[in-house]
Amino acid sequence: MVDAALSGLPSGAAYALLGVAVVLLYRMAGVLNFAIAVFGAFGAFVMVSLFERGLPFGLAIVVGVLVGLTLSAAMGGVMAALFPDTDSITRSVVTIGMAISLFAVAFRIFGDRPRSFPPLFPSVSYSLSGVSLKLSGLVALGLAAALALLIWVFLRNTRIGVQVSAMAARSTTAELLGIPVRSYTVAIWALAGAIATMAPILAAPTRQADFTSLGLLVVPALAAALLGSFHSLGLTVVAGLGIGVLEAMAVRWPTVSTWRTTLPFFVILAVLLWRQRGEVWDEAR
Amino acid sequence: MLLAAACGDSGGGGGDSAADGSTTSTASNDTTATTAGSGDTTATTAGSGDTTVPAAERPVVKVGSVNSLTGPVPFPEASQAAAAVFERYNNDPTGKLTIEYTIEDDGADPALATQAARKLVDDDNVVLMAGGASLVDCAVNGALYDDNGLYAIQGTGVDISCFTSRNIAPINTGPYAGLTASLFFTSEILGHDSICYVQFDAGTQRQPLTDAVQRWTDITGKELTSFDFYAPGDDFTPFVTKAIDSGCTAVFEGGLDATAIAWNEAVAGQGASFDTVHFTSAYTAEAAQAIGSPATPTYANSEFEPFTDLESPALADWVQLMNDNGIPLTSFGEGGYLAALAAIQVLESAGIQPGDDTGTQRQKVEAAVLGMEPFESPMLGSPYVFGDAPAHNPNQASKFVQLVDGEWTTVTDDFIVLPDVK
Repeated sequence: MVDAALSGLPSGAAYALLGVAVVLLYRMAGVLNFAIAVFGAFGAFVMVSLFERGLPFGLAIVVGVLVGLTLSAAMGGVMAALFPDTDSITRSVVTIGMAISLFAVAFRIFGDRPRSFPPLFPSVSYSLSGVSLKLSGLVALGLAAALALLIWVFLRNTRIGVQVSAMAARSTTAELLGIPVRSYTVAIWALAGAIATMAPILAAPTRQADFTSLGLLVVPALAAALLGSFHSLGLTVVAGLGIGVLEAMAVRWPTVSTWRTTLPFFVILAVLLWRQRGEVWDEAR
Repeated sequence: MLLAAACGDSGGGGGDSAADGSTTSTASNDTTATTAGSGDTTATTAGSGDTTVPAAERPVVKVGSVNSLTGPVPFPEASQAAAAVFERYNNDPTGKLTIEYTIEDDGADPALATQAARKLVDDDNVVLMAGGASLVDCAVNGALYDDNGLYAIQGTGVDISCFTSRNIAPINTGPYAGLTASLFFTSEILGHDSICYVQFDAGTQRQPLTDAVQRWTDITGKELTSFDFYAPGDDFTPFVTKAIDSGCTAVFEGGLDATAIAWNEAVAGQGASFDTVHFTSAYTAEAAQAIGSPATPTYANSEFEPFTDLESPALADWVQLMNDNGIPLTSFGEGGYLAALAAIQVLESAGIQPGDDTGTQRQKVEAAVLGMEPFESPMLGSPYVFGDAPAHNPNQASKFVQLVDGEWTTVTDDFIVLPDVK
């Protein structure tokens, strides 16, 4: 069963990366972004489309990440301009509209046929307990952990990080104090978009990668972020890995395997119920 | 033909039971042209006489198809190939009819499929459906076609309704007979005793695929080591490690060409050593180019004469027609091409006259379909005939190809033919 668990690490690493992007946006921009994986899928599909047309792989990746980053930044700019003082629920609902619109646009541009993604590191892997862990999966895992650590350090120990934290807590006050709230917001969205684009690029080579499936990777990412309370990046990374491991282990149980893709929903439901366990019904409502 | 005799009842559409389960090799790949398109460059068909009908005097016959040109699993080549055949026929001075062919896209959406079929039936007044390839057309529109006296020669039948309807007969082997043949190839030709099966989960196809597996069990007396479904977007790594741990020496992977590429990547990443066999949907030039030299021996099912064997005389006309029209060379294109040729044979034998209204034409076409002579082609392992059975899966034959150094190579000289299906 250990090798079954380990075989879930590549997926878990992708969930962890997307979870980091989700938490980043929630903490810093006050929005639960349901479209983050769609931004990433957009960038990834631009990458593979350019690669199929002859662009060198490395350059195609750079362009793909820039597309994901730019798309996310543009949406962030729209959010900052049109919904500056709205509550987080409203802004989160707006992202659902973004996601649906982008799915429709992507369908027109890319179709819905699965595409084959070339691996980032084609021939390098490491063996652990009988399971080969490809370098791309380890890179995704390392990237998620490193980003979580770097962002944590950045927010605590840099001037801009403190300003961003202030912006997240009191955006109007921060703006009155001269903090460039709108610029920081767009930058945060851009960073989240870049992170979200790397996730499918690293994870797609060993899966049936159609646009819708990659866009819906936001579901396990949200489950991971929820387990991190939408606050702890470290816990989010661990939770993302755990969800990937759980899905992989479920393949070995015929009864559960059929419902494998619903596991993130059960995780979300379980966490929400667990957190409500101490609430008195009337007070909780 | 290589006959796969059944040891008991066969599921997935019914079939005869044979006694002993032995296999017999007979002569194969008859390259003599028995129908239009098999090596000929002109669209002459069985039943065509010596009289040349001026184009202006030819009765106009309307043929249609509903296709999943967009959506999760698009099949554009089948209808494109059929259109090319009909266009060439219309330009052939020896033709007796003018065929107006209308292609509709359903986007794999049942609602759109219904609209498309309604348009063809009620507005365009088609008298025959031919060359179509859709995920939902058969299930959604089969009854509509039946109510209006229409018959469908599908270029690519996919869902179970295509193979269990009175008025629909796909020209391709289909996923169910193709699966049984592929498992037979894996166990009896390649000699594997421990086989895992990993299948893309399309929901409604679970039971018919399970029935197809049972048919293989009935034929060979063997059973699968494991049988798993994967969802869209699933990572293949856990399935590969499960196959390794289960001791499988071969895996049948049921997806598309893109999934075959991803599967190979997962297999390579885990250092697996089992053989892999794919559906015909993986048998594409794109998959061959992307995979190159596969991590382990990799095979695919071919429902018709393998299209990569470009030197085969059986494919000459088809290859030229596809190249002239810029249509990719795929199995789906073969299906559309053959379906259109079969449709021309049927239509020419129907005795349609100028001035026949839609209802009269449909009646004549129905009689011609039900009484059609078997349509034969060296591209087919089984003669195609409609008949009046309650269900149709006339093509019970498959060949197999192996991916070697970026090219698909035919590894079965003979078609593997499953027992007749009633």
